[in-house]
Amino acid sequence: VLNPVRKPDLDQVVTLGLMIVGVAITVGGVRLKIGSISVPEPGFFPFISGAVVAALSLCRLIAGGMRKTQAAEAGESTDTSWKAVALAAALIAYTLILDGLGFIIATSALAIAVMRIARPQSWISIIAISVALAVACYYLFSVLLKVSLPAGTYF
Amino acid sequence: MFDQLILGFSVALQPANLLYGLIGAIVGTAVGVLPGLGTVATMALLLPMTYHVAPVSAVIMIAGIFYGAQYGGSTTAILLKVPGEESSITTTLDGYQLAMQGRAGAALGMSAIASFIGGTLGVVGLCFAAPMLSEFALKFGPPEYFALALLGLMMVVYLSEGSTVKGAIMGALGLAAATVGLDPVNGGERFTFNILQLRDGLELVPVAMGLFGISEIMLNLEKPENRDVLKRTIRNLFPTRDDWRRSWAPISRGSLLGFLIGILPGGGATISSFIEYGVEKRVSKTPERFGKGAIEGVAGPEAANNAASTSSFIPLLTLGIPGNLSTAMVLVALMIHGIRPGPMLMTEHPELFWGTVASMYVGNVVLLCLNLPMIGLWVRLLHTPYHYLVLVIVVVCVVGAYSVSNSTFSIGVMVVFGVLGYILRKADYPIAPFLLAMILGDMLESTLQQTLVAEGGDLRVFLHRPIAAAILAFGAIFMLKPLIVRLWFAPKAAAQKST
Repeated sequence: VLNPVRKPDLDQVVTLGLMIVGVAITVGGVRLKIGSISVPEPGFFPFISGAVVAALSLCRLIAGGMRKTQAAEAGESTDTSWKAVALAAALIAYTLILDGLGFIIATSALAIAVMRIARPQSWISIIAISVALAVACYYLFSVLLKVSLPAGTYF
Repeated sequence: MFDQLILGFSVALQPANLLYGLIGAIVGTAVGVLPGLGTVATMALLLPMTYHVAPVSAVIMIAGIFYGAQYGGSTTAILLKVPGEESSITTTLDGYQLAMQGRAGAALGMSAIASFIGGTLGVVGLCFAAPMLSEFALKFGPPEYFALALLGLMMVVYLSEGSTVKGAIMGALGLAAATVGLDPVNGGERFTFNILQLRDGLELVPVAMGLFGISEIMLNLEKPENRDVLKRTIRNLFPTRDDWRRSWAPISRGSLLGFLIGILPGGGATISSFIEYGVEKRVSKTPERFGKGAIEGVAGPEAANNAASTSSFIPLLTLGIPGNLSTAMVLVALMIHGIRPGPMLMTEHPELFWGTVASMYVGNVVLLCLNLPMIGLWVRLLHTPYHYLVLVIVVVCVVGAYSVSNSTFSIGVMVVFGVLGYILRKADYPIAPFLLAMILGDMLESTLQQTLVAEGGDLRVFLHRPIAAAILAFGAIFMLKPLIVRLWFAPKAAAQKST
């Protein structure tokens, strides 16, 4: 769905976020000590990088504010799909449960979530494919490639 | 040199290395054919698999993915008008038209053969150019290396999609991200927030997987799943005599042009194919055929992009500076094994250097053998539903990220950078400069510090040393070109218009 009004908004919000990050890095550089140009200290390089991020973001914000209407012509949708958010949430949940539940259970759960998000199908096929994939991956990586995957601390 | 090349072949033809090269080439071609995962993400994804193998095998496999993707990308470009890789965009113009005229087989065959010739000539050029550049690079000191790394970064910023300012912001942010961890000079912690795992710095592999793999999936999930695959059977893979007559000169020009462009920082497969397409259209006696199914519009750019992919290894292997993101991933593969390429690589690790070069010859033969008879298989692969691909990609991503340090922290890093990449790409911020800056950050910081300390903070050293000055001037002209055009040429054009 085309939503021309939101395009500059997202751009501006992200640029503002980057400016804040840039300022934070610059301050972090000062705290680490910048030193001088002949004797640079650990904060010298982060200070310069952060300052460039902050300064250029500020320039974009000012320039963007002045020609807000121009950016509105961009064609791609900026609507965030629930699918993208759901995938991110599933991955965050996975990192939280992996050590506790172990690779096979956690990965089966992740695969079930991913399949439901990507395209809803019957639960039986989703569960069967997910568990089979998790078990196959466990044996491929853990047994054949010797990657030590977590077995789970709750068991 | 021939002795060393024989040494290289003896390494590349070892069964284990052949196998790794074959895996890389097959995976690379599959990635090029399939939508949803780019070359860089795949290289990042397979890096953990190379931890336990010899460095030369690791590089052979990663390099195999790189040039395999160039081959695979053209298959979808011809059959679907969807470039599997950016470097095959030009192939869609005439390749798809040929397919519509029932000549998909000739287009696919010519594309594979032109790629093979371009890639092979690129390797021959590499054999001669790399030793010369290596010898020349022995004269380089920290100011030259700083200038070269900065030029590489500037070119990626300049060539990144969309606004150059956005690219520069991402580049600077990547440099800041590279400083996370222990300070190399005095060992103090920087931006670690008391997190133990961050003391060694942000791991490149999960960051790359997140930025290029996870964010890509998130973006793809938002798009409707519809791909029209050409249903017609593909016959006559060998181009006709007339096709050859039209194509031999474009293939030769494309190979030479691609080779030269690939050596330049920021140059690579994509740019070379665009320039070559323009050149062919200009020199053609029948330019009106271009875009309507001209076989030379497939042959020239395909030769160029493969020659450029090969020659982009020259600055990486001789100077240690990747000119684009794909070669940057090869650098990461080497760094994982504690090898920092540079002018001494050829003498200190001849088996690695010449083994990689020889594996490119072997890889090109493998890819030609793989692509022509297996085109039917690749076409069938195109029918794989995207929701199954997503599943496999996500699971391989989490296993790959976990195996980097055997901890869930790496998966967390991947997820965080996946979400960041998704948001940044939605706002049209290019992510390639970020990752390249992260990879080059250490080198830029250490060479800048060494130069400043040695010269007592006198920045004029960059002007007094001719090589560094020339490199920086070249970069500055590119970066400031839009401004120069706006300030100098635009008022003149406006004045001419008003008179």
